[in-house]
Amino acid sequence: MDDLNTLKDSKKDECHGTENKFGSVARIERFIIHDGPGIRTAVFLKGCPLRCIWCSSPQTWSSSREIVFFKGKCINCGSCIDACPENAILTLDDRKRIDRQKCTGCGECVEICPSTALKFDGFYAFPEDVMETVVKDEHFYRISGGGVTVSGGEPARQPDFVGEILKKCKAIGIHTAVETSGFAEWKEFRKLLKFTDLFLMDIKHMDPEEHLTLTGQRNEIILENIERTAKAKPGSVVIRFPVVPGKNDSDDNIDSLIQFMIKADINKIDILPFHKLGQHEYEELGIEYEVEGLRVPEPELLLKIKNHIESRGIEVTG
Amino acid sequence: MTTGVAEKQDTGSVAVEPDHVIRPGMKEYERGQRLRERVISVDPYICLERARIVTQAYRETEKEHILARRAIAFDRILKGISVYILDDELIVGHQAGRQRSAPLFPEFAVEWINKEIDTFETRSQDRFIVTEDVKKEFKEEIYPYWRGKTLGDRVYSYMTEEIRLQRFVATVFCVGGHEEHGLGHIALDYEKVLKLGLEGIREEILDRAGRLKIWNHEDYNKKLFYDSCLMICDSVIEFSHRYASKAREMAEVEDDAERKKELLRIADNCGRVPRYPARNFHEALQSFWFVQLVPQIYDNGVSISPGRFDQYMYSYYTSDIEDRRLTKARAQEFLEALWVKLTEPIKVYAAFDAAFHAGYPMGQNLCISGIGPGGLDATNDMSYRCLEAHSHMLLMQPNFSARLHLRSPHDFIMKVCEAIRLGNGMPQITNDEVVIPALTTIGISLQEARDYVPVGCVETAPPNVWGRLNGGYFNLVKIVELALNNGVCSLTGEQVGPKTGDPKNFETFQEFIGAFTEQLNYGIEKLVTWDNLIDMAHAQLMPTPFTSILAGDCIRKGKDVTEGGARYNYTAPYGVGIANAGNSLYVIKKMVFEEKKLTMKELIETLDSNYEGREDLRQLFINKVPKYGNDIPEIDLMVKMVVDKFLDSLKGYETYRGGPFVGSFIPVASYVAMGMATGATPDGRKKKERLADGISPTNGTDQRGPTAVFKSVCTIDHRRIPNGVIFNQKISPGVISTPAGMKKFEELIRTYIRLGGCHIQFNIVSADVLREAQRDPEKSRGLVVRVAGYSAFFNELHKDVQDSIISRTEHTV
Ligand code: SF4
Ligand code: SF4
Repeated sequence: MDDLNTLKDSKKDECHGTENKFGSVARIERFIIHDGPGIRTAVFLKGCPLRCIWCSSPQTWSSSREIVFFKGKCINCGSCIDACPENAILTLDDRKRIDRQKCTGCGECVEICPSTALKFDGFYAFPEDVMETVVKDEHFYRISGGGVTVSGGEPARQPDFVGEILKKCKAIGIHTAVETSGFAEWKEFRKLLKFTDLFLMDIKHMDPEEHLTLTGQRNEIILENIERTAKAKPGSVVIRFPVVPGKNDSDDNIDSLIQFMIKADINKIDILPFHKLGQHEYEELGIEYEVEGLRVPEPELLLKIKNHIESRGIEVTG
Repeated sequence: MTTGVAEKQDTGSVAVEPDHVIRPGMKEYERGQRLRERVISVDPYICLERARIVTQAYRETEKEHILARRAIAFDRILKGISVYILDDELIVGHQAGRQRSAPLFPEFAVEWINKEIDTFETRSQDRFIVTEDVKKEFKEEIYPYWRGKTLGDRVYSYMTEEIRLQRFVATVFCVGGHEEHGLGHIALDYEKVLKLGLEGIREEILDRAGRLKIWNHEDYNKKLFYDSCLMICDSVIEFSHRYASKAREMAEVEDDAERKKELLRIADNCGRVPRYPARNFHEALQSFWFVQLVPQIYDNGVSISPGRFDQYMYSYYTSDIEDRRLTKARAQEFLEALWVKLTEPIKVYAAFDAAFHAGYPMGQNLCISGIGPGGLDATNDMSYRCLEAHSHMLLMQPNFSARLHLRSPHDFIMKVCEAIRLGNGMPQITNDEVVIPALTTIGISLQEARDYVPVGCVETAPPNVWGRLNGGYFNLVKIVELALNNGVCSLTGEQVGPKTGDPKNFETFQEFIGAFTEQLNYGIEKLVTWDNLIDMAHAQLMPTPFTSILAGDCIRKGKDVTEGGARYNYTAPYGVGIANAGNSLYVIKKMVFEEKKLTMKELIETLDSNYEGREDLRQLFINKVPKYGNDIPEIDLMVKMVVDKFLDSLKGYETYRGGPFVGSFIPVASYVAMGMATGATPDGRKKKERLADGISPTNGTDQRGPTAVFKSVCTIDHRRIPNGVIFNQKISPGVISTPAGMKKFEELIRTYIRLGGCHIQFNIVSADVLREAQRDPEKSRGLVVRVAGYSAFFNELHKDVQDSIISRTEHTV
């Protein structure tokens, strides 16, 4: 399978000296209005160190691009089957199955599919490529005070690439935000600091063991990075807290979240209700969707949490 | 000229109050709601009063000059039609014998009525109830007199074979019903009547007439014109006096003391205006309403547009408020009573035309805010009062517009956004930064250009113009079809255009563009010819003196508007389907000439078979070739080229009245009917499917959100399009459900203004709500949606039009 390194090699000639600044992007979306001020463009990256059980975008787990299949778009013309040099595509009850062992990611099927039922779930790009899309909405940013939000996967996994995008944005006066899990070594993470105006940082649970169960990793490094960021750039951090009923909504957990924020001198938090809108992505990637057991939070629960946090002088949005 | 915005310092000023001044529970509020409830629950009828009277008048005036004949018929109608006042009304005057019933205009055409009158009640679009008596009287008394004598008969007598093929066989163009209906499309000089009264206008006419030397035949013609104008002034005055008497009669027998007082007040108002200048806000509204109503009773033209209402009403409003004769709440009550009146006028079209104008649109465009003649922002408290009236009424008329510019107050744009959020698509927005310079390019003075108003749908027109602002719909997608078929219409197999060569032999895309251009120029020449012949027939048979006394320089020149009496006399044809045409050309360029994915022969065969068995090709064309609306310069430039070629093709012609032809892109609902007449196209569109509307992308092909669509749409040079465009954008209610979302919505609009877009309108209702309304029309009575440049009751639209509205791309986040 085409991995990031082989691609870097193949493109090296074109990008003297910037080989570290080559990135894996899931998609770029324009007119984003919830992740930061004004009208924004969001750059979603691929590659994430966590595996939150409620994840709504599994496409961003892997940093290499993969083939995805959209059943609704397929017209069953069979072109892809003929085109695949590895015989990796089969038809199984009306839908295409890609044998991921055999598939080399050559892209022949994507190229030939007339209806875009087969697609890559991302692309490799240089910062310049990303900027080309970003500047298209420059007028909208200038009037609305908006800008760019670099989002997960995990931006800190590609710090040089992301750092370069952020730098280029600031050079032309565009507001920058980074949405991050905070799970990265500080020496990598700090590369994002200089050119970012706003950090949207997730806290999924305060307890390291619980965090491990929910996301596959402990949280010490995350909490430390948040504190250091808040100290280095006061006022730039907003905490994001995904509410997953029965998993992280206990009073204890929320109390310790509040204490942490007060100690770190962070006074803004977004409360994000867990949702199941990403279910189709699992299907397109051919991954089992295992979160059937999780519940979407009731509005009353959200309101209760909001009031609780606000009573401690922290601003709640979302 | 008296048209123009009064300078604020002359007219006093009242503190601006962006928030509502009346609320549910207040009696000033409740009256409007009762009036609204009544008007949305009446079923449209056909009313024969007018047709009966006009027929009798024509029988008796065969020897008269047409101007006298029209004036006599006008007088008889205003003397003869029913006069009645409904409960709660504060502004009075009705178009026909029942509320929201449509008069017939047999002098314009009768064949279609005779053919279709039995199906008015059951047809799929714009139904009317017709009683058996009405049918009988029409068929036996009215139809036989008019056969062969109508405007339509005269127009068709001028038709050539080439025009027939293009207009009636292939529907390359059609002309918005002007062959068989009045022309309309004007913002009258309401301010002149408010200030001078008809009496003042009479004096002006008498003064001119007194200076004529009638031994000179030109002067004699002017005398005939002036005589008809004078008669018309008298008839309108008498019409208002009939209402005064009616109100007085009703007051005498009224038990409720409060209502009795109101009726006496109405009687006083109607006794005074429009004859004399209005002295207060209530009189001004009543005077305005008579001026607005009369042409809709008589002229059979739509889009009689109130224009800059907040400007010319402002001084009457402020002086009442300042002198404490009126509270803001009471003023608001009057205004809302007027708003309901604007929903009453209605018109019946032939089934074919109803498909182009689905939902009885009357196009009474009322406009607020914008730059004043002195170059400064002219937003005032009346602008906010109109927004409030709109928000309380949420009716389909008036067609409501807000003029915005780079210096529009933030508060005002936010209130506009709040009104838009209510979901019925209004107000629509036009951009002064584009429209004003665009109008100056066709010779209109800067001061007049700053006083422009959207007329009808969005036809941006300065004062003093008789513009034929709807110069017909021209199907640009059909032009691609003809270029692909060497001039043969693929639906009928007839040779309707010139032989521009068999495209199978074309070696370059440039050759194909050559054929496209030739087909276009040929079709445009036929349209222009047809427009001028129609104008000639109108000048001969349908002079319209009432409009003429309130338009341009007619009194000074002693000439009717139909003869060129206005100051500006352009005609503005509409290009339809630019997105489909541009996308199709781009597919041809990419797939046939550049990537050679298929031959021209295969393409033509595929289209002829309506993509039968070639879904793979159709998907390829749809998905693998960039589409307009995604901020991709190559394809956006192709659409821009189509636009520019259309505009260029209109150069060099002159209208019957002596002005230029000016292009615009206002489809009304024609994109559905034009689609019905067009074969399969290379953009993946199947035979007979609807076209894209206005300058909006094809439904579903814009996939990068509204900012990308805005950028694409603004690739087109809107300053080349002085008569306006329509750009529809659907926004999901979720986007603007919070204060933060509303702020971003406002910023989105402001950026569009900055990018140089001429017009934008939003549908905010969610697709789910519309689907529900489709399932259960009774429950959704009163739900108003944006169709094209106008709004309509959703349950009064044909299912195709409903579907088209539902599927307009919904932008979410
Ligand atoms: S990318 Fe497509 S064509 Fe290539 S090996 Fe994988 S499945 Fe086959
Ligand atoms: S090429 Fe695309 S449309 Fe055709 S069978 Fe394969 S996935 Fe389906």
